[in-house]
Amino acid sequence: MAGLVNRDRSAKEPAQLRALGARASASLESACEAFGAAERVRARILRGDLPRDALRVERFRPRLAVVAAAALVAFTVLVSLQFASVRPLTFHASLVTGHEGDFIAASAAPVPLTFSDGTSLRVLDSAQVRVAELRSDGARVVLEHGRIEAHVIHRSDTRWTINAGPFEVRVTGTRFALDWDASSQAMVVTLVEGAVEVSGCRLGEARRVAAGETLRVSCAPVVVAEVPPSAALPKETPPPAPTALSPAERRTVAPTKPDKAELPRIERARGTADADSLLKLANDARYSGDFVAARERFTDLRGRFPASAPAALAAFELGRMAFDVDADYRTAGDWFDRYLNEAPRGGLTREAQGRLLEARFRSKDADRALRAAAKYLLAYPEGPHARLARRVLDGEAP
Amino acid sequence: MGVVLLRSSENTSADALVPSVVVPLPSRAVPDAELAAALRRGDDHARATFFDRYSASVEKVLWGVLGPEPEVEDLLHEVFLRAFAGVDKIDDPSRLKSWLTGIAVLTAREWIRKKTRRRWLSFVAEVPEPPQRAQFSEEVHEATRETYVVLGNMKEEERVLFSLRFIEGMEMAEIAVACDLSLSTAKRRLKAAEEHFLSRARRVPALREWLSEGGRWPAS
Repeated sequence: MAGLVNRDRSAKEPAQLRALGARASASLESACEAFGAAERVRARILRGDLPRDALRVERFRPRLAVVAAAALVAFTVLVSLQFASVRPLTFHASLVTGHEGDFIAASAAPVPLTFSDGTSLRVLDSAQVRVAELRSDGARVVLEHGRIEAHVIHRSDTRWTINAGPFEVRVTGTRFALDWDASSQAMVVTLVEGAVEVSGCRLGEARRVAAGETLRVSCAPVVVAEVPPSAALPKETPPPAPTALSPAERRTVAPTKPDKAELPRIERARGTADADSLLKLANDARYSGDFVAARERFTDLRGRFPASAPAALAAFELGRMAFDVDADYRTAGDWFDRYLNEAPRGGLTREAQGRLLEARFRSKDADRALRAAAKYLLAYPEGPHARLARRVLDGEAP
Repeated sequence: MGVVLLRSSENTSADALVPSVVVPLPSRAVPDAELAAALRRGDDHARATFFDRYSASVEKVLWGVLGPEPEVEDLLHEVFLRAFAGVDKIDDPSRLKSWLTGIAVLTAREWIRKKTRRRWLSFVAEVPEPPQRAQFSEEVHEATRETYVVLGNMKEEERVLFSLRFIEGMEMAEIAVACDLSLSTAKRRLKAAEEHFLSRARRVPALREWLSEGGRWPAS
């Protein structure tokens, strides 16, 4: 009898190892996220640093007293640096002390902004900026409209960001000018010294712009903004995609369809809408049961504001529609996965992790279902998908 | 949040910065082969793109093979520096990821060997202390820690194969490529690793329950 039990157990062992491995993987993933090494390593690589290990090789051992003295000096320096480095920057606009959140508009003459780290910005030609965030290692400035010239002082940990519409310019130390035309959604970055990284809208991954180069980029919509008001006829809406919902379920999510006469106004609004407005337009379409328009708008939003919080929400909604409307569980799983990557601490994390598990399970992707189950159970042992997670981990086939 | 409307009397030219070069803007994701070519030219932007594209998967492999080790940060750095240095030698530039995974596995294995040597050396001579261990207790649970204690006492190759298969969830074909083994050899050695892990893990109370039926995921 004992022999039978042992044989039975050993037959199950690889599955148990997979479950143990999935749990370890989920546990390590949260530790890895908390450790946050990638950002530090990225900075080291871009600075051209050598690995610390290379610097450690074959060092001689100094006397204890020398070590103690050096440690004391280092400690004193570190403490003073610590105190100095935790204070956020301050700035002056002309001679006036500015504050985080201040809005600065230049009229006929330029307005100089000087920051406590030595960085200076000039707000030119009726431009408008907002100092959105002041940190110890830099600041985030939003260029609402017009042109600024910047001279950002480089330090080892400088982190300056300038936002212009959907674009983000990351700066570590350089001189450059930035023009932003909100009405045409066009931006021009002109580098005098150093380099910057520009991301957002259609740029996809960050583009580096170096000294002597000019980057011109526009985020204007391709078609809709070109339609003159007189020619803007109601757009023919294609029939909705095949749905997995029952008619009763559809009635609950699709109480009314928007008046077709409303569509041109909404479509024109998309041309200049910000990310939040686009999200609202897309959700309006979804609530009204127009899933084709909703999908198009969510996709548009993700293309125009790729690294934004609304873009992450759009990923979740695209996943929800793929799941509920199309019963396309593989696509749905990929969208939930994307949401979790883009907004790991977002408000829909539990829902997304549960849906991801269910999508992987329903698409018969046993391995990824196992991993999703381990991750879910670790985070939400009492959550609504916990029972399914346990079933998956106990080897239940989809 | 205050509102400041400022007017300065200072009058300077807005034309101090004159555009000199117009740079065309590729608006698509760069394929691996193009990225490899740019890396070979030593393009800084390509390095950043390469890191952004693959650092998460490399980091995952390192964590999976080594467990919660603070030196993962230095190893991640080392993997990418090795990749930059060796990009000229890559056989198939369109398969950067599997090539990089191979470098990550090799780097992790070297670190395990170095650590094992340090452990032995520590009995006979004073050697520099490794960097202070970070506190992972909140994120890393007991079973995970114990899993790596067991793995730490296994042969380096078995540890790597086991981690890549069961913790990383990699396919056997990928593992064989990353470890530079034939598929059949990788399978045979993984089987041995499985048996060694189980025989040791069953002696660890925190893992015994996980390896017995019904004891792994307590019901809510």
